Amino acid sequence: MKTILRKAFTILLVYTILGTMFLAIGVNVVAAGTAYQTKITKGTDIFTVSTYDKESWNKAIGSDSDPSDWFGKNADKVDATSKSTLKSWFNRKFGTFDTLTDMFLSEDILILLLFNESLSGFTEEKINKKYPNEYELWRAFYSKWDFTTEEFDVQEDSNREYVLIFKNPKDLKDILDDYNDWVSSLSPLLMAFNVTLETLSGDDLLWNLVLSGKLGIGAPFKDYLTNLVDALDCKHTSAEGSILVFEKSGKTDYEIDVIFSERGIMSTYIVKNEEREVIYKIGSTNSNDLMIPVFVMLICGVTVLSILAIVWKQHLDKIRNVKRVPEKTS
Amino acid sequence: MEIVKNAYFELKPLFNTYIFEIKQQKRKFLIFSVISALICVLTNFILEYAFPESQLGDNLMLYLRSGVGFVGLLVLFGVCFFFSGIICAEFSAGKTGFVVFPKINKYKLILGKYLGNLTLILIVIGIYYFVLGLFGLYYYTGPIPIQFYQSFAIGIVYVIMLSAFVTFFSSFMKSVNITIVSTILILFIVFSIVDQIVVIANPNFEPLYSFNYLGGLVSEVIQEHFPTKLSDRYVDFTMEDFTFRQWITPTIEMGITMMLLYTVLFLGLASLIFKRRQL
Repeated sequence: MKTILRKAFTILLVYTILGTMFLAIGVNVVAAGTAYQTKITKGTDIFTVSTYDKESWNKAIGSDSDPSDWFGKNADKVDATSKSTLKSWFNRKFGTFDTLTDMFLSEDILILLLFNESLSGFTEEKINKKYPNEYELWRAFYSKWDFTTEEFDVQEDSNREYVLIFKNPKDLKDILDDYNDWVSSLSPLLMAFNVTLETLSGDDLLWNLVLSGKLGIGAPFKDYLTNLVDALDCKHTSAEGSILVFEKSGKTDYEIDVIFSERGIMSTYIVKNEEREVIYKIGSTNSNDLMIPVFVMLICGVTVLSILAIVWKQHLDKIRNVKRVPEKTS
Repeated sequence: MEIVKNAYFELKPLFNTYIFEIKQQKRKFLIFSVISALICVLTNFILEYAFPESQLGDNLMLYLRSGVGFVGLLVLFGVCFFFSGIICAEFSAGKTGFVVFPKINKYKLILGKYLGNLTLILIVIGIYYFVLGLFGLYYYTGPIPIQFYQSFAIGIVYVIMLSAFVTFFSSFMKSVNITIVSTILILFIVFSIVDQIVVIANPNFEPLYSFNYLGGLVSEVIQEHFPTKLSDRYVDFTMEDFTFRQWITPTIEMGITMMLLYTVLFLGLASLIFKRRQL
């Protein structure tokens, strides 16, 4: 009996140590000292278009646009799915040049500006000298599969997407001001190249980040979003818990709710018309959530089997010992 | 009915040896199973969480392909430890090797032992693939690509080939420990050195003789478009007027054929030497 207890204790001890290690890794991610923390984890989000009421969309937003203009091709088909696999992330301080290029500039415009560096003055050195702010942020990389009604290809559609999470949401106001100032100073040159880069409001910035899939938030989410919206002085965007609510008008007023998952990444998009009816919805599931019960069951199964094996072995040993004793005495 | 009865009596000692060997090796099996699962958990979960900046593969196929890279190492050590004692251990004191009239046919004994160990090592590899597949689903969701299963199938053939090789060594070596050390050295170091020399001497010669090269097929098969052209199956590196060629993978057909040929060759040689050793 003592041996059984000792072995059971050893198994429990091993699992406790392993459990503590896993917990420590998790806690390490969450509790690193500063005000906001990232809760992103590696894994895949599968997005599914669950609702699309085309008629209501046309009435509220207008027939000249559809969901594919916002969320990419095939996003206007119910049951279409897309997926994003978060592969890695790191935390670093970035200068204004890097942050500007990451947040605001498309590849075409960036190439144009870099090719005409003497005219645009768009070099890392010059920009960082003029705007000396530094931004501490988490940059998470993911592969992306566009919306499709068929099975996903093995090969991703893009593997260079990223999410940006500013450690201090108020930094977004600074980079927005720097961007607006830089664009204003650059306007004549951009016009000469027939390129439009507009100055942005806080609302515009958030909406652009949502559409480009680059917006991530730190925990605690409610606090982060409230600070973000306040810092950017948003007029038509508000924060409700971990939901970012955009109030917009097309043919009539409508609302877009962007819900963030417990990982601080956009997970659900809901478009509501003036009567607050859902006219479009993209929901998501995460691969980690789907597999964790499987892992838990597996670990429990292995533990139970190990204990049963030990108990069974002890039982057999006991029977053997009982058989041997009379032999010896006779 | 008589044939069935005969077959039963012929196969019963084989089956008994098989079961006995599995029972004998269960401690080794448990250790390797735990190591196999732990390597998988360590590389795919703990390290991934401890070092978030280390990047997962762009897609499930790349992830599984890099994960399967560890199989070669696991197979190499597993096979050397499981199969090194198959024949030579029978020639130690009190074992069947030198007994003139043993209670069991010696070939059946060796075959039973071989199959028992083969089953165990295949389960160990299976555990690794299973845990890796689970992590694939954890990070990417499904479906698991068919190439992953093909890799497992080729992995089985690779295990059979290496086990034949180690069994061959076991047939003439004197002790289990020497067999383990020498086979690990040959598989780890000698083949690598020979590969380097051959590729420098004649870069166009495809190293189909090399176990390392054949083993590469286990992970290389996990790609969407397996290279069909010869020029896609090697890479040339040029350094200061010197071009060095690295062969990546054999074709699937040629790889499997070579593995099976090696299996037949080494098992045949092992049985011949075993026969001579008893005389």
